[in-house]
Amino acid sequence: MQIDFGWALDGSSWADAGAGGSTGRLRCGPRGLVALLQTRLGLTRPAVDQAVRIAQYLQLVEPCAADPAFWPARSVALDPWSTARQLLRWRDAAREDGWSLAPDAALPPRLAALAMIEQRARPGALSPGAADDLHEVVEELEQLAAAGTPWPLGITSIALHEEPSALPGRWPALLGLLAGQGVELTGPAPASEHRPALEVVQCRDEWTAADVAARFLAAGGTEPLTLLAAADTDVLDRALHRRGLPATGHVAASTDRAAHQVVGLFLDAVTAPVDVHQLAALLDLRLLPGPDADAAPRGLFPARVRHALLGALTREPGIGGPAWRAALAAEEGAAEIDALVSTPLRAEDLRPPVIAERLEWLARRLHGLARGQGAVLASVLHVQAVRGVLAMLDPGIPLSRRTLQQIIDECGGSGRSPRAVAEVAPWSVTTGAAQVRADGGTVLWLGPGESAPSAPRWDPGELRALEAAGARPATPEHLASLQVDAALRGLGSAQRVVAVLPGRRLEQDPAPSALLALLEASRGRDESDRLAPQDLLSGSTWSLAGRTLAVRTPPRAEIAPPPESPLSIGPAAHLLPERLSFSQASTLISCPHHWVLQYALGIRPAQVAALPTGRPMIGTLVHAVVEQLVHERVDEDLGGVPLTVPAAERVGEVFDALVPQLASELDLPGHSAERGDIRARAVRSVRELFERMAVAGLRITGTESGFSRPLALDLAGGPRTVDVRGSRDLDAVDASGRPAVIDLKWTSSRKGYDDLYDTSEAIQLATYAWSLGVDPPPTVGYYLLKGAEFVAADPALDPRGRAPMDVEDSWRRMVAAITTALDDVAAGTVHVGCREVLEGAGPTYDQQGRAWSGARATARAEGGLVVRAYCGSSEYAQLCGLTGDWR
Amino acid sequence: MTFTLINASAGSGKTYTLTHRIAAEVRGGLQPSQLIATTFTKKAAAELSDRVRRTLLEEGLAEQARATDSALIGTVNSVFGRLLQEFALDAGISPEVRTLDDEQQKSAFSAAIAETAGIAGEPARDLLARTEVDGPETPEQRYGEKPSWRQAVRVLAESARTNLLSAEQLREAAARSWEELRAAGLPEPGEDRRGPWTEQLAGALAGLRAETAAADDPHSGLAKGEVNALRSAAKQLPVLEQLLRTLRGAERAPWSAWTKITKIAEGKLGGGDGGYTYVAKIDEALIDLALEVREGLLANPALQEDLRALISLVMNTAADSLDAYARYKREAGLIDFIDQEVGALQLLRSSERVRGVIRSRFRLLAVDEFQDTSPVQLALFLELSQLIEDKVWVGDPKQAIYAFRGADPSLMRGIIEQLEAGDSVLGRGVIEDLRHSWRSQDDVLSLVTAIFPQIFPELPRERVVLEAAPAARAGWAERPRGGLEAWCTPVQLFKNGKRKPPTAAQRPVAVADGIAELLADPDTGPGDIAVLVRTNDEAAAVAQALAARGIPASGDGVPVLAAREGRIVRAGLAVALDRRDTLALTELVDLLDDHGAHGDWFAQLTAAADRDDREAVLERWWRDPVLDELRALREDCPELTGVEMVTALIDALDLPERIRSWSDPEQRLRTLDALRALAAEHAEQARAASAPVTLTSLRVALDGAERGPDLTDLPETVWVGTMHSAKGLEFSRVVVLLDLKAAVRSQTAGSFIVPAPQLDVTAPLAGREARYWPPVLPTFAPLQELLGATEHARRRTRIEREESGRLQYVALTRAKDMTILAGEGRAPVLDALVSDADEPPPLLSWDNDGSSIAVAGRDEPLPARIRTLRTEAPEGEDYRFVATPLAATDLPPGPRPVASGQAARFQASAVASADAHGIVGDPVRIGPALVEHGGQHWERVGEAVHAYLALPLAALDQDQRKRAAQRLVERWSVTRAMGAEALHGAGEAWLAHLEAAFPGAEQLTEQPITWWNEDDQVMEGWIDTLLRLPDGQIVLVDHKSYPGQEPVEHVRREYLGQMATYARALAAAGRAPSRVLIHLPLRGEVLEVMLA
Ligand code: SF4
Repeated sequence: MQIDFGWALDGSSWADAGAGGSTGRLRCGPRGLVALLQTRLGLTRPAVDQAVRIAQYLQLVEPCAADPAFWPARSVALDPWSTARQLLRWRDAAREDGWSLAPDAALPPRLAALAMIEQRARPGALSPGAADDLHEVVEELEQLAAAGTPWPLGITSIALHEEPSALPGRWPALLGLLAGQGVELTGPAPASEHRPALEVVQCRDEWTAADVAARFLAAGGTEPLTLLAAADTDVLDRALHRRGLPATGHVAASTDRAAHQVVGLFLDAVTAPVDVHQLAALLDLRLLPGPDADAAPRGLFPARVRHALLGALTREPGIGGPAWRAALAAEEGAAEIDALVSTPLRAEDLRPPVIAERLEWLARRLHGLARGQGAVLASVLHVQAVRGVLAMLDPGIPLSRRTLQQIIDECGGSGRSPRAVAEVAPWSVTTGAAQVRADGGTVLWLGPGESAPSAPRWDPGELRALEAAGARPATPEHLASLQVDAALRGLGSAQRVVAVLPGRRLEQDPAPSALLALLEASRGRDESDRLAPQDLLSGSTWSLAGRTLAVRTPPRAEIAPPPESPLSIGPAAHLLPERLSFSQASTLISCPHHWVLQYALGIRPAQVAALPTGRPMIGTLVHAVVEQLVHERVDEDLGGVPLTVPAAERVGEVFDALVPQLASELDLPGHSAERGDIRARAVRSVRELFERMAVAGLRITGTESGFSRPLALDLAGGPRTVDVRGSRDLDAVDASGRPAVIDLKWTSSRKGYDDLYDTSEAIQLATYAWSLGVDPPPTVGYYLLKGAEFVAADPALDPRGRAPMDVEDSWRRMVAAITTALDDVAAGTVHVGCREVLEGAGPTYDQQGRAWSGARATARAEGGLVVRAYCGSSEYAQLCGLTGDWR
Repeated sequence: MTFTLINASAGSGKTYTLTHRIAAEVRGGLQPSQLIATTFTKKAAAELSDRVRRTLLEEGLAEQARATDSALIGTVNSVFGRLLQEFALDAGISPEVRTLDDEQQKSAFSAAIAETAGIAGEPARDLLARTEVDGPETPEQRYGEKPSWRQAVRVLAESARTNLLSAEQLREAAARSWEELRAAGLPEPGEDRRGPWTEQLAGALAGLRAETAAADDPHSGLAKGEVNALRSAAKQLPVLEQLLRTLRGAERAPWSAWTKITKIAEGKLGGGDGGYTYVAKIDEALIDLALEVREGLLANPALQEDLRALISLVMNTAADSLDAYARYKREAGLIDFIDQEVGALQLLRSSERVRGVIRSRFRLLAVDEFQDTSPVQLALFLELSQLIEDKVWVGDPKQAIYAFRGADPSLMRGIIEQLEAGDSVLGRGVIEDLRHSWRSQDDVLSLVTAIFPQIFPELPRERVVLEAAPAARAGWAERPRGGLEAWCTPVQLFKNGKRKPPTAAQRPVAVADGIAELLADPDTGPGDIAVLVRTNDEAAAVAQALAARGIPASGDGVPVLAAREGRIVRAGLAVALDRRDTLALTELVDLLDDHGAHGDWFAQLTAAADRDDREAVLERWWRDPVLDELRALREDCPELTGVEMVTALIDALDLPERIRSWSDPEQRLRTLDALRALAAEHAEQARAASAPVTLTSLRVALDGAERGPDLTDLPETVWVGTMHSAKGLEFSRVVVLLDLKAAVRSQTAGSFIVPAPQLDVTAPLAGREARYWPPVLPTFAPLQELLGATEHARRRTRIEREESGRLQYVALTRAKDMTILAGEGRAPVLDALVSDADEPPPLLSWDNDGSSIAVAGRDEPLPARIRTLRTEAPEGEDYRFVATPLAATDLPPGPRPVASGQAARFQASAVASADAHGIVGDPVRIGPALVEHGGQHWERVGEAVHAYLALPLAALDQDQRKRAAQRLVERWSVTRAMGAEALHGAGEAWLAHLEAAFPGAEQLTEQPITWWNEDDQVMEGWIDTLLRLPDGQIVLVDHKSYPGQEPVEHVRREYLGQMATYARALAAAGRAPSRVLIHLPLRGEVLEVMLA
C-alpha cells in the first residue's frame, strides 16, 4: 500500500477525480494513519463516546478534588462536568504532544494536576483517546523493533508532505519506526515557486456571492475545476439547484434540530416546577414528516392528544385547570402526559437512576415512533447515550440541572443537516484548502471560512517541563504555519484561483482571511484590487476568469396596492351571518373587508403553540379571581353577593390557587418579584371593585353570564334574524332592582374607554345591556382592573362626574351600522374599513387621529357609528392594502 | 520595559502608526503569540489583525505574518474574556460559561434577584406606591408607566460591580446618600399636614361644586362672563375630584400628586409669569392651599422618611442582589461583561501562577482607543503593564465619547501626566503626539483649528490642532475640491421678532434638499456623503426624508415584516408549518404575482357558494405550481434548523430571482440576510434562556421582529447615523446636523458614582462611592433647584457637557474634503461649551446670504458656501440613480430545471442485493463455529474476529498470533463470549483453509479501494482480504460476522450487491477478481459467490 500523508489531510478524499478505480492507495492525515496502524497491529477497540470519556475522567477527578490543595478543586466543586471536560482536553493535548503524564516534583501546577489524576487511574478507568492510540502504536512498534520480530505492516511507502522533524509530539518517532519496519519514506517535495493567478470577487451578501460562483460553474470551461467550499454552502447550493447543477452539501451540523431537542425538552417538561412553555413546545415538536406533503407532521404524541392539550394550554397556560381537565376527559391518551407532568421530578433531587427511569418512557415512545427510523433515530441514540452516561455516575448524588444539561448536550452528537449531501458534480469539491489537488486547474474558492485551530496553549514554563519530560510540544506559531503551509500547498497546485467572498453572513462580517492576505501579498496586491460583482458585467455578458455567460435584465415589476375601497364582488347574500358575537359585530362595523375574510370566509391564522403570557395571561387570571370570589360569595337569599369586601387574605388565596392553572409561569423561579407585584395589584384591585360596588349599592348577581338573543335585522334584501351571543363579565342590581352590567378590562389605557363611554359608543356595553332585554336599560360601566378605576356615571364608582352613557342610542346606532354593512356586503360592495378613513390622511399620528375624528363625527351625524379598528399591524392589514410594500 | 503613549488626534493615522509599531517589534524579534492588543469594537479588532498581517507581509516578514492569528487581538471584553476562560481553573470558576449580552443580562439579573427583591419589596409596597417606583420591570412609556424600583437596583448593582464596590460599601453609602440629600434639599422635619390639606382641598372643591352648580341655574342672575368662568371650572372639576380621591388614600397617594396643587403657586396667582394652572376660578379657590403645601411639603416628616426608606431599600437590595446574582450565574454557568473584567482583574491580582504565565508569555501590550477605557479596564491594563515588558497605548482624549458606558476620559489625561512625570509605578514613558492629518483637507482642518482649542483649553494646542501631512497633500489633486459649507432654512420670524426655528419635521427635509444639491455635482455620489446626527430618531427621520427624494440612505432598512420579501418568507413559514393557516396562504397568493389566483383571490373566495367550495378554492391555491417547492419543503421541515429553514424558504419561493425585478434589490438581499440572522439570533437567545429552539418558536420570534436589515456599507448610499456610531469612520463630505438648542439636563436623581476627591490613575478605582437619589417630586421646583445646585448634580452636568464637546469634535473631524454645518446661523451646542452664560455669544455664526462663517475670537471669517434650503419636499425632483447591475440574471424564464440530486458518494455495503448479481454456492466448513446462534455480544465478537483476520497472520509466529488473539478479545470485551482460544482457532482454520485451497497465495488484508461508477459517484472503502495467487489471479474475500442459520440465503439477500461493487471496482483498478469468497468465521464456513 502507498500512502500520501500530510498533517492537514485528515478527512480528505483519497479517490482522485476521474481515476476510475484504484486499490492500495490511501491519502490521510495523522488520525487516518494511526487508525490504519491500529488495524495492522491488532490494536483496535470499540469506539467510545467523548461523553463517556468525560464521565470516566470525572470519576478520576472527583476524588482528587476532595483535597483543597488540588489545583482545580474549586472549579470541580462548582462545575464538575465542564471542569473534567477541560482537564481531559488538556490531558489529551499533553498526550498528543508526547508526554507520558508521569508525575514529577518539578511540574508546574496544571501539568502536576494532570499527572496526579492520571496516577489514580486503574488501567481501563479511562478509555483511550486519539492521543493514547498514537502512543500505543508507537510503543508497539518500539517493542517490535526491540524484539526484532518481523510484523509486516503492508505499507510500501509513505509520501510525506512535511519533514518529519517539523511535526509535533511523537510523530517523528513514529515515522522513524515505520522506516525501520521497511516502509519507504519519500518527500516532502521542495516548496514550489509557482504562484497561481488570482481573481478575488468581493460581494456584499451570500446570494450575490452564490450567483457569482454558480454562474462561474454554469458557464463551464475546459480546465479541471476544484470547488473549495470553505464556508457554508447552503445558499450556494440553492443557487446551483436553481440552475440544475449539483449541490455541494457543505452545511454545518447543528443541534438545533427537533430530534436533538427531544431529550432536553422532555426532561425540562417533567421536572418541577413544570414550565408550560416547555411542555407546549414538547407537545408541538415535529419529528417526522406526515405520510405525505399535505399531512401534518408527526410528533412525540398522537395528533389528537397533542391538539387537545395544546388547545387547553393556549386557553389556560397552566396545568390542572378546567381546560386541562376537559382535554384529559376528551382524549384518553392525554392521561399519560398528565401523569408525567403531575408527578414531576424534583429539581433538587435529580439522581441519575430517577432520570434514567423517566428516559425509559421516552425511549419506548421514540421506538414506537416509526420504529426509531429517520430523524427519530438521532433521538433514540441520544437517549441511549444519555442513559449510558447516567449509568456511570454515582446513583446517590443528585445532578444539578446544569450538569444534566451538559450531559445531554455532550451526548447529542452533531445533528447532521439533511442539506449536507454532496451531489455528483463535474468538478471536485473539497472543504479545506490543504486538501485541494488542482493539478494545474482552477480553484473556485467560496468564502474565506478558515478558522484557526484551537489547540490548548502551554505557557513557556509548561513547555519547558514538557520538553524536559521528553515531549515535543508545538508552539502556536508552529501549528499555525503547519496549517497555512498545507493550505498554500493545496492552492499552489492550481493554475488559477478564483476567490468569491460573501462579505457578510448573518449580518456579521467574516473575519478577514489570512490565507487570502498571503496569496494577495504574494502577488503584490491588496483588498483594493478585488473585483466587485458588477465589474463582471458588460452589457449582457457576464464574465469571470475566462468564463462567460449571457445575462438579461428582467423588466421591472410593477407592484401596485390593491384597488381602492370599496371592492365590488357579485351579489353575496351567501356571506350573511347567522350568528354574531360582540367582537364579530364590532369587526363588521369597523371593517367589512376584515369581517368578510375572518368570519364569512374563515380565512384565519393557524393556532400556534405559543401560549399566552404577559398582559393577556394576567388579565384572564384576574378575571378568574373575580369570578371565583363571586361564586363563593353568592348568597341565594340575597340574590347575589353581600355588599361587603372580601378579605385581602381570601383574595390572595384565590389568586394563589388559580396561578398554577391559569398562569403557571408566575410560579417558576425568577418570577417571584413579578408575581408579588401582580398579586398585590390584583388583591387591591379586586377589593376596590367589591368596595366600590358596595358603596354604590350594586349587588353582584353573576359573572361570565352567557347569553344568546335573536336580533331581527331589517335588511334591504328582506328581514333576517341573527343570533347575538356573548357573555357578560359582571351582572349586578342596585337597591331599586335596576340591573347593571360591568365589563372588566386589564389594561393600562384609560383614555380610550373614557372616550367610548362619554360618546356613547361603547358598543360592547350597549350589546351587553341589550342582551338583558329590560326596559329601562341597565346601567353600564367598565372596571379597569389594572388601575382599579371605574368608567361609569355613578360618582360612587367614578368620581369624574360623567353623564350616563346613552345605551339605547348606542345600540340603535350599532344596529343601524350592522344593517348598512350587511346590506352592502349582500349587494356585493365590500368596504375596506380604516383604509377608507386613513388613505390620504398623512402618516403622522396626529393626522391619523384627525381623520378618525372626522369620520366619527360624520357617521354620528348620520345616526351611524364608526369603530376605530386596531388592526393596522395584523396580517389582515396586508390583504386590504393598508400596509404593504409598494416600492 | 518601555511605555509609549501615542496621542492621536482624529485623522492622524492612528492604525497605521500602531500596526507599524507592532511590525517593528516583530522585526526586532517579537513573536506574534507574544502580543496582546485590544481595540474598542470587534470590527476594529478584525481590521487591526488584518492590518498587522498585511504590514508584516509588506515588510517581508512572511513567517510571522502566517502566525498573526496566534496573537491575542480583540475587544477589551473578548481579550479579558479569553484570558479568564483560559485561567478559569485558577480563578475557581467554570471553564465553560455563556456570555450574556446586554439584553440577556437584564433578564438574568431580574430573575436572579426576584426572590431577594420580592422579599424586600413586599412590606414596602405602600412606600413604593407613594414614591411611584412600583411600575413594571419593562414599563410602557406610552401609557405613562414608570419603571420599577428594581431597575434602579440593577443600575446601582451594575455600577457597584464596575467600580469594585462591595455589598458592604453599598450599604454604608445608603446612609451617606440620604444624609447628603437631606442636607442639600430638605428642611428640618415639621408636621405631617396631609390630613388638614386634604380636608382643605375637599372643602374648596365642595365650594366650587356648589358655585358651578349655580351656573346651570337659569335664575341665578349671574353675569354671562361669570357663567362662562364657572362652566370652564366645572369642566376641570372632575380631575380635581379624582385627585382628591387619590390623596385620601393617603397610604398610597404618590407624593407627586401634591405637585398638581403646588403648580398653582407657580402660576399667575402665585407670582409666576405663566397662565392659570387650571382655570381662574379653581386657581383662586386653591391658591392658599397651594402656597401652604409648597411651603410645607418638603418638611413633611413622612415624605422625608419615605425618601430615606427608599434610598435604604434600593441600596440595601442592590447590596443583597450582588450575591444573589453571582450565585444565579454560577449555578447556570453564565457570565456577563462586567464579570469578565472584574473576574480578570481579581485573577491577575490574586494568582501568582497566572501572573507568571502572563509574564513569560507576552511581551507587548498594545491598547487602542485608550481614551474609552473605564476604571476597571485601566486597572486591568495597569496590572498587565507590570507583567508585560513593552507597552504601546494609543488614544485621543478628545474622542472619549463613551462615558455612558463607564469610560472616564480623565484617566487618559492622568496617565499622560504620570508618564511625563515618571514618578509613579508606571515609570517614565514616552508621549508622542501625532501632528499630521492624513485624512482632511485644509478647509476641514481650518474649522477644527478655529474652534477646538477654545473648547479644550486644558489641552496644549499641539494636541488639538493638526496640519495636513505633506504626503497627503500630494494626493489631494485626485480628490474632489474641499471646502466648508453652512446650511440653513429660510428665515421665519415670530411676532416678537425672534427667529422661528424650523420644526423637527422640516429639518430632515431641508437636509435632504441640501444633499440633493450636493448630488447635482456630477463628481459627487451618494456614497461620498454622510449625515451625522445626535439621536437614532433623527437618523431615521433623515433617512426617511432622503428616501422620499429617492436618495438611497443607509441605516436601518424597512422592517423585515414590512418588506415584501419578508412577508413572503413569514407567510411561507406559517403555511409550511401548518397548512390550516389559510390567512398566510391567502397572503402568499396576494404577494406572488405569478400565482394563478393573484389579483383575483378575493373574488374567487367570495364567489364560492359555501364552505366546501371555499375549501376547494384553497386547495387549488395550495396546489398551484408556484408553491411546488414550498409543498416539497414541508417534508424536510422537521429536520431543518431555523437558519436552514429560512434559507430553504427563500429558495422555495424563488426570492433571489424575484427580487431582481423589484426596486432596491440590494436592500432586499439585506432583508433576506437579516431574516437568516434573526433565525440565528433566536436560536442563540433561546439557548441562553434554556428555551426550546424549534421552528414554531422561530415563527413566533419572527412575528415579533421589529427591526429592519442593517444597510451599512451598501454602495452608492448616503451614510446616515449618529455621531457616536461615526467614530472611526471617514467620508468625503460630512453634514453635521447641529442641535438648535444646547440641552442641559439637571441631574438630580438616579444612581451615580462619586469619584475619589483626588484621582490616582495608578489606583483608578480607589475612593469611589455610590449614591442613589430617588426620582421623587421631579417637577417640584423648590426641591429641584436645591438639588441642582449640589456638587453632585453640577459634576454630573459638567461631565455631560464635556462629553458633548468631544462628540462635536468627533463629528467635525470625520470629513476628508468638506464639512457642512446644518444649523440656523449658529451652533448653540458649541456655544454652550465655551461659555456658561444663559445666552452665550455665538462661537460660530453665518448669515443666510453670506459667504463665510464667523468665528468668535478670530478676525478672519472662514470662507464657506452658505445654502438656504427648502423645508417642503419639492414634487418631481427625485434623485435618479441607475438601476443596479445586480438585477441581471443568467436564468431563463420558465420552470426550474431539475438537478439530478445524486449523491456524490456511495458505500458498497449500501448497494442493494439482487438475484441478478449472481448466485451463492454451498457453505464449506473450515473449522468449528465460534458462537452458537449469535450470543449476546455477537456484533462485538464479529468485530474482534474481523480485527484478528486483518492481521498479517501468515507472517506471524504462533506466539504472536496467540498474544494478538488474547489482546483483541480483551479489547473488544468478548473474553467470555468467545475467548482467545476460539479466536486463535478461527484464524488457524482460515489459514489452513487458504493453505489448502490456495497454496502459495499472497494475502493482502484491509486494502483501500476507490471507484467511480458510471454515474460518477465515488466509493471509498476497505476490502477485507485480497488473495494474490501464484498465477497472478486475484481472489476477493470478505469476512462477515453472521451467526445465523441460513447463511446462503443471508448472503444472497445482503451481500451480493456489495460483492458485485467490489468486483467491479477491482476490475477498474486492474485487479479483477477471478473468485469471490465470503468467510463466515462465526459459523466456521466459507461460501463462494459466483457473480454474474
Ligand atoms: S387594516 Fe385593513 S383589514 Fe384592518 S381594519 Fe383597516 S382596512 Fe380593515
